[in-house]
Amino acid sequence: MLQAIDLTKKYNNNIVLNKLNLNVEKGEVFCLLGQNGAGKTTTINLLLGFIQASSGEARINGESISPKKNKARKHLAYIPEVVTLYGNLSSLENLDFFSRLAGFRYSKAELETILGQVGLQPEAFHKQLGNYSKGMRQKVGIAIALAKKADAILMDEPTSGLDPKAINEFTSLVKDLGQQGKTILMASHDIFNAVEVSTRIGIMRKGNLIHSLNTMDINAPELQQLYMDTNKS
Amino acid sequence: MRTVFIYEWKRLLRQPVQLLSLFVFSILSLYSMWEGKTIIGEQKEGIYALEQSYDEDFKEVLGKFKVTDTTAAEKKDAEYAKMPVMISFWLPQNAINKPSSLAFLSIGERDILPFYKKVKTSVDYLDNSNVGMDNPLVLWAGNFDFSFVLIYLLPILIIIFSYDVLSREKELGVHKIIAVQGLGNTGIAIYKLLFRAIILCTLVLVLSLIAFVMADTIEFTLLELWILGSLSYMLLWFACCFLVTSWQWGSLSNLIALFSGWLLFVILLPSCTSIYMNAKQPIPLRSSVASFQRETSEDIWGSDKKMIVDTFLLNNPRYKKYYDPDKSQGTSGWGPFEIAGYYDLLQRRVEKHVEPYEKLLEDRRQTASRLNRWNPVIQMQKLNNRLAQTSLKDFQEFESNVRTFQEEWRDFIYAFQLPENEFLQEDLSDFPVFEQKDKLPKTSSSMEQLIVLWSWILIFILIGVIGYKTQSLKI
Repeated sequence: MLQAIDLTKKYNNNIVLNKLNLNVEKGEVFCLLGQNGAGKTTTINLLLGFIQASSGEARINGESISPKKNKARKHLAYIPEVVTLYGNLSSLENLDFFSRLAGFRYSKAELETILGQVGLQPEAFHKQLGNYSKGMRQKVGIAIALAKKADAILMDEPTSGLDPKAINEFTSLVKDLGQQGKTILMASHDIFNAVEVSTRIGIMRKGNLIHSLNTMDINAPELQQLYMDTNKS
Repeated sequence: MRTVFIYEWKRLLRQPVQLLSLFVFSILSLYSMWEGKTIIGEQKEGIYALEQSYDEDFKEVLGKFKVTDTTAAEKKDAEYAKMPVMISFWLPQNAINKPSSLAFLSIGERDILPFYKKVKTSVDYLDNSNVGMDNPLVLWAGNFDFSFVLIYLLPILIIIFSYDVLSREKELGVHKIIAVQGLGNTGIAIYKLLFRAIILCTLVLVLSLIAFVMADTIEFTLLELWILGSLSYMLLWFACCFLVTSWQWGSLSNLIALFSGWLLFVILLPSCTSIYMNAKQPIPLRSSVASFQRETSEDIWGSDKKMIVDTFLLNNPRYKKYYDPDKSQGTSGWGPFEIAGYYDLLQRRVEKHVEPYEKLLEDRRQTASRLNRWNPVIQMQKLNNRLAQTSLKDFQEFESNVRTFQEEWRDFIYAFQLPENEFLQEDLSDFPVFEQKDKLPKTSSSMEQLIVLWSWILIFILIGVIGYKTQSLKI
């Protein structure tokens, strides 16, 4: 499904991602953990085809992804760390706008259904996004990803800045997406949420994927210890 | 594109600052038209008063012919009325440069150059005005007409509307989502610019149509050229925005770059040109003309009268037919030929004295024109002034027509004065009339300015396209 094959990114002589090999299958939720500068965001940018790999290849459904071959992006959706969107449009309008950009035209009822699926309250559908909390905007971001019917969703630190209730809602949403067969790759700092939401976890350090673990085989305190040890060494 | 347009329209309606700027621009445009109408209206009132005054003088002169021998004063008036020199004195002819129907849109130099001349049989060089439009400070401090609004304020509106077409998405963090959704960021920037161009072009089109409705008569060629010029100028600034946004800087940097461009073309380049011109080719002072004219007058007055008449006939052989050597005043008397010869010689000598000044002034204009040749703002001002027939060139054409008419008027008066024929009442109806040659500017004459605008548009778009092509989305 979503693959990184010897994926490498260098800026001058500085290697920010070193021969990453990754395979995230359909229905999997893969969480990349690591400190700032570990290479998580670079991995996401390479997998979205925003930046050109120095060597190696990124693939989705077997199709190569790069800034020059952006046709493969039709299989991908993206949720940034801060979903701002257009503050003077409502969530319904934002969803309609971004869906249309992706080539999908939904009726008002269909758009409302999608917003309902991500847990947004109907009374908020027509309010301008400028008045939304970060958690609500995050939900609209997920709705946009859902409306695109993308096979894989890439998220860059999506829980950063969310309150515990919003994190909880987000976690259950992501789990649902995984169960619906979406492939999810998520970069995060949040160890406890990673254990909660993902099926697999990767720990990165200085551009290398040091550990790749099955969530079923580890609990949060063990993961935290491993994470600390990895970043200490 | 339709999606972007629909949502840009919705967003525009919810942005009070942009709506307010559109409203303020519209109000300023309408005010500038009213202001222009007021200034030109005052000139029209002046022209009307001038014509009224001439009509009254004409009636008065006519009355002098009609009086019967009742009083000594009236008898004297009737005698004077038969003298062509008195007719010329009482009734100097008005040569009026009437404003064109579009003059109020671009007043140009109409308010600083004379719009009428009193034509006599001789020329007075001291009443010539030589204020030029080459000085950008004169241009900047010029009238608040519609042309000013279009040339100086419209680019600011375009900048306010367009400086953040791509940077805003980056700052909102939606540029990556847009890129993933399939429409490239170049696409969204172009569509957003196109949307803004359509909105502002429509506004300018509507305002131009209102302006043309306010004009006394509508010339469709002028309307087409005015709109073509305005749209080209707008396209130039949109192309400039396209270029700057292609560098993918932040909104503030874009705003600073675009305002710097505006300052450069609108203020700095013309000011530098002006400073350079004043240093290298200052406006020649004509202070010596008055004393030269006085000294020359005294010199000719004291000259041999036969020499004056001979020179006059040599230079004006068409008056030979009126010359009767038997009526010659000799070397000391002042007859009609001597007086005509005096004015003719004075005119020729002063003309020769003024010639170097005129040449310096013309050279200065030519240099300024060359230096401003590629400044699109100055070219746009030139284009509007030409269309409104308020440019320096239009004034020079008027002056040339006045000179031709002055000769015609002199020929008419001299046809009585030189052979010493009496002027009769019925001769009043044969007065030559000054006709303003109302030459509508042709499309070809506006091409020079339009080509400059189009060249800049092409350059900006080409560099912008290269910028967008070579710079992938900056993450």
